[in-house]
Formats: sequence, C-alpha cells, structure tokens
Amino acid sequence: MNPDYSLLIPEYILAVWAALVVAVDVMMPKLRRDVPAYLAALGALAAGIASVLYIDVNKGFEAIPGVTIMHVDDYTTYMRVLLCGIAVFILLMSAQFVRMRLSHAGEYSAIVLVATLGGMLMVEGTELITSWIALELLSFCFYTLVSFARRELRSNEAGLKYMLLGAFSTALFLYGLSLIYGVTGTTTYDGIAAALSNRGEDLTLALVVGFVFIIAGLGFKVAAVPFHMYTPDAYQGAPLPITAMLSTTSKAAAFALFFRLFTTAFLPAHEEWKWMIALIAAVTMMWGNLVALQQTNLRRLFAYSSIGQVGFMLIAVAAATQDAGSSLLFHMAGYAVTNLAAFTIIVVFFNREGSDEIADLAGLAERQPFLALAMVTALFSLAGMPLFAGFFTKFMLFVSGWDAGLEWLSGVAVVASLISLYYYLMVIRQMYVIAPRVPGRFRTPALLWGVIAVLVVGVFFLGIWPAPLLDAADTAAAFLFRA
Amino acid sequence: MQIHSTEQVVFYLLAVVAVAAALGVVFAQDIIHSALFLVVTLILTAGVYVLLSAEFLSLVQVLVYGGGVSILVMFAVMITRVRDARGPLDGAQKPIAIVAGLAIVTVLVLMISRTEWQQAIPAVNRPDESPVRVQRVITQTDKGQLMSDTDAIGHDLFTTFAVPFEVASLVLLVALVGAIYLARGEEDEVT
Repeated sequence: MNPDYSLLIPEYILAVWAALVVAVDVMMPKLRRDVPAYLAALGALAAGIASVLYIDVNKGFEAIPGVTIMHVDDYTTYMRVLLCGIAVFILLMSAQFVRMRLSHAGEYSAIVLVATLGGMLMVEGTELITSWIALELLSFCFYTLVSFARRELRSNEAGLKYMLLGAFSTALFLYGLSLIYGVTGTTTYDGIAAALSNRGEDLTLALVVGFVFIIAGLGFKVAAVPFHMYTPDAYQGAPLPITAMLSTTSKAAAFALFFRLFTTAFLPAHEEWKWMIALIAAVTMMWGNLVALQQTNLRRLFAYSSIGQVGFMLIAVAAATQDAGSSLLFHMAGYAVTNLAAFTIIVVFFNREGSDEIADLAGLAERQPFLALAMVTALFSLAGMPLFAGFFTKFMLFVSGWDAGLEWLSGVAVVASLISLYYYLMVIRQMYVIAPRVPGRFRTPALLWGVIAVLVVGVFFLGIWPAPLLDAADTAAAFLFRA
Repeated sequence: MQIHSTEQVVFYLLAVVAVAAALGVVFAQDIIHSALFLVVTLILTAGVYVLLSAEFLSLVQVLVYGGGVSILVMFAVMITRVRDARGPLDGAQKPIAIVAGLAIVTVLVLMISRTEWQQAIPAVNRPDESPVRVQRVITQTDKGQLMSDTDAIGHDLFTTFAVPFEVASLVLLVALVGAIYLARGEEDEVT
C-alpha cells in the first residue's frame, strides 16, 4: 500500500511556492525588490491555512508498512501553524529591508520559505534519518541566509562561523544517532522506545555516550551553553530579519524535534539523560542572562537573551512530562510573538537610522512614541512581567519543571529571570530617560506599523487570556504521551 | 594476538597504515603533505568498509572522499595563500586538547568494547572465532528474496526513505543557490 502522500500538502505548497517566487523574480526583472517578499508571505499564509485543516488528524506517514517516518498529529499541526505564522511576519518585515540593503530578493524569499519547510519536516519526523535531513535543510537555508548581505564583512564572518560550527555539530549529532542505532538496531522512534524499554545492562555506557553526542549536536542548533559561541556573531552579522528568524523559526523547530525525539524515542532511558539536560539548562540560563548584562549592541543583547530563553525551554525537555510539553509549546508561541514584535521594531529603527546600538535608541520615546511603547511591551514580556505573554508562559514552564522533580532548576530559572529584568530595563531607560542624540521625530511605515500593532496585541492577548492557546498546546502535547 | 584469517591480516595492515597516515595529517608541516596523508587515510577506510562487506559504502567513500573531497582540498590550498602560513598550527590550548582527546578515546574504546551491539542485519558466513567480524551482509526483501548490500540500499532509498531522499534534493538545491549567490560576482563588480 502506498503511503498517504496527502499528509504533506502544506510542505508541497511551500516547495512549489518557493520555486514560483524565484521564477517570478527571474521572469520580471523590472519588479520592485520588495514584491517577492510579499508574494512569499502569501505562500506561507497559504501553507499555514492548509496546516489548519489537519486539526485532529492523527495519522502516521508509513513509508512501508510498519515503518512510520513522519507523524501528523496535533503536535505537528500546532508547530506547522506556528512556523508558517513566523514566516509570514519575517517576510513582511523583510520586504523594506531587502529592498534597501540586499540584492536577489527572489532567492532570499524562496529560501525563507524552504527553511520553514525544513522546520515543518523536523517537527513531524518520527525517524532519525528523516529528522536529521530536515534539520540539515533548515541549517543549509540558514547558512545561506546568514551570509546573504555578502558585501558586509560581518555577514560573511557570521555565515562562515555559523556554517563551520553547524557542520561540526551535525557530525556530533550523526555520530550520536549512529550509536543509538547500533544499540537499538532501528531508526524509528517507536522502535527505539521499544528497544530501550527492554534493554540489557551492558548498554548503559553506549547510550550515555550517544545521548551526550546528540545533546551536544542539538545544543549547537538551539544555542545552549557551552555550544553557543557562534550565536552573538551570527545574530549581529546576519541581515536583521534573518536574525529574527534565527531566534524564532530555528529555535522553535529545533525544540520541537528535541522534545519529540526525547519524549517518544528516548523516554524509557529518561534517567540517563535527565541530569545532562537539566545541567545544561541551568548553565545556559545563568550564562545567557549574565553575559547579556554587559552588551551594548541591541542584536548581541537579543542573542544572549535568546540563549537565556533556551535555558528556560530546556527545563521542559528535562522534565519530559505532558505538562512540560504543553508549557513548552505555549512558551514557544509567546516567545515567537514577543521576539517578532521586538525585531520588527528594530528593523524599522535600523531601516531609518542604520544603527543597532543600544545607545542610539536614546530618546526614542520622544522621537517615535509608538515604537518605544511597543518595545517596552516586548521587553516586559521577555522579562516575564504579569499581564504580558512572557509571564504566563514562563510561569507554566517553571511549574512544570517543579512538578517533575526539578525544584532546584525552577529556582535557578526564577533567579535568572530576575537578572534578565535588569538589562531589559536598561534598554527602556535608554529610550525613555536619556535625551535623544539626534533630534527629530519620524514615522513608522504604515505596513510595519500594522505588523507591530498586531504583534503587540498578541503579546497582551496571550498575557491576559491565555486559555485558548493553552488548550491547543495541551491537546498538542497530549499526542506525544498517548501511548 | 592470534591471527585467524586472511581478512584479519588485511584488516590490521589497513588499520596500521590508516592510523599512521592520520598521524601524518596532524604532524606534517606542509599543508600539501597533510592533504595527501588525508587521502591515504580516507581510501584505506574504504578498504575497511570492503572487509565489512559494505561494498557500496566503500565505493562512495572512494568516489566522494578519495576523489571529490581531496581535490577540493587541493584546490583550496592552491587558490588561497594558506601555504605561505607555515609553522605549527596549534596554540596555547595544546595540553588541554591532548587531555580532551585522550579522554574521548578512552571513553569510546571502553564503550565500543563493552557494548553488545545489535546485529540489525542478518549476517551469514561469520567465522565464529574471529575477533574481527567479517560478515557477508545479505538482506531480505519483503518478498523474501536475498539482496546484496548495494541492492538493499537502493531498495530502501526508494521505498522507506523516498521522502528523505527528496528532501535531500532540496538541501542540494538550497546549497547550490546559496553557493552561486555567494560566490558569483555582482553585475557591476569587477572580479
């Protein structure tokens, strides 16, 4: 019997649309350079709508009978919609930026779509090779995108560092996968779980070494300490919308893979890897938030802030319970909305001023009150203040860690979260207290004004009335633990 | 150490030379010599694959690593000025690197020797006493026919792994577009 190819319709849409965007760009050389981005945004929207149709579908993609290499369930659907939504916003904030600063808008937009496609495959993969090749697709897209501003030395440097470390981490990850395959004799998640739950005594060392390699490889991809070294440079050098994408798409997809792999395939060996991830989580959140304190560049600040967030998200992976899963999904959505808002603001500011130094934000409240206010919303949400999205999502995450017996880790997380408040407040102080360096008000372009407004409303919506999304996340996570 | 079979003799020969060449890669002063040593190591690894009856893998190893990758390395050496930068390439971290390297080797050796690895593929003709397991890998299709290693890989690639295979073509496409975009000169740029 043939596998059910109709399960992958959102992926087909993205792939075909990406080709279409390139074709349109090639055929119509007179096209304004922001048009491909808008066109691609439509494609991402279409794929997102197609993904919604799969709500409550629960079906495996059986390549041959008995071998499920992908699984479409509510977990997949939730992440697919989230990734497509992120892509829409990334492309909208890219349009002006690409027109002003980059060439080859068609290729740029197409690769953003293909990256989203890679992320979606990472989410639904339930077989090691499938998940790995999807991860590679995402990574290759980012190697290209990070160095897309090829006339800027910083972008070249960022691209090179990202690619070298990315290749290295891929090798580690693959070596880990080969060890797991050697121990269990299969590459499907179900098969691995079955093999691990009735394993012999002599396998522990090989398993632990395999987990170490896999966690190190994935640690590179999500930028957990001590595998985070490339992050600040990549964030600073990449074209700005790509920085936003690195901190949202790449993290969301990698965590979705991380969580699915560890809670379906490796759950029977939970005791062997729980402590590793908990340790990395603690180090990551402290280190990210402490180093963020000394940053003077907005993008490097966000790089370290995102490293801190990775630490929080790792709590959920270490806990590996259904509650942890739903709070991870919930936190990811809240974090994505918040970060997209923050980066759209930075893009508007950068398009206008050509600077991303924190010092240059001085007096933004006077020059453009709307941007400053929106930025405050985003920063408070990232810091986890009540009423904003970040409070609820972080709270759920910490509680799920506490319930899973990681009380100390939740304690560390609260401290790290408090530290983060300081550097977010420093940015706010810069905008509201310090007098502007350059006089003169300016306006936000209408479209980006709308985008920011939508995202800010989203931040408040999730903060004040989280129930609908939390329910969705709960249903989604339940699918991983149905067995 | 007792020698049981011809395969073993061949294996130890390959292994010793491969490791020696690998050391050559690290310790050679001239980067061209390093690159040549690397080719030796890679091709001898293909020999080990042959001993494991993974003939397809060994062929790919020769084509991709022995051919493609080593030529790429040579081109990189030729085009860049890396040859001018002579002298040792290691820095102050050398002692730490040695300790870390030894630690990893110890753990890996312990792990490999202690673990009872899965025999995922039904193997026949395995000499029972030989510490180096030489196996003739024969896989069965779903219809019960016996297939060689190459047949089995082809079969799997187009049934079980058809979708990942297609995704791999997307990966190549993105890599191609990215490489051309990054390497090509701008229209208005003199290269």
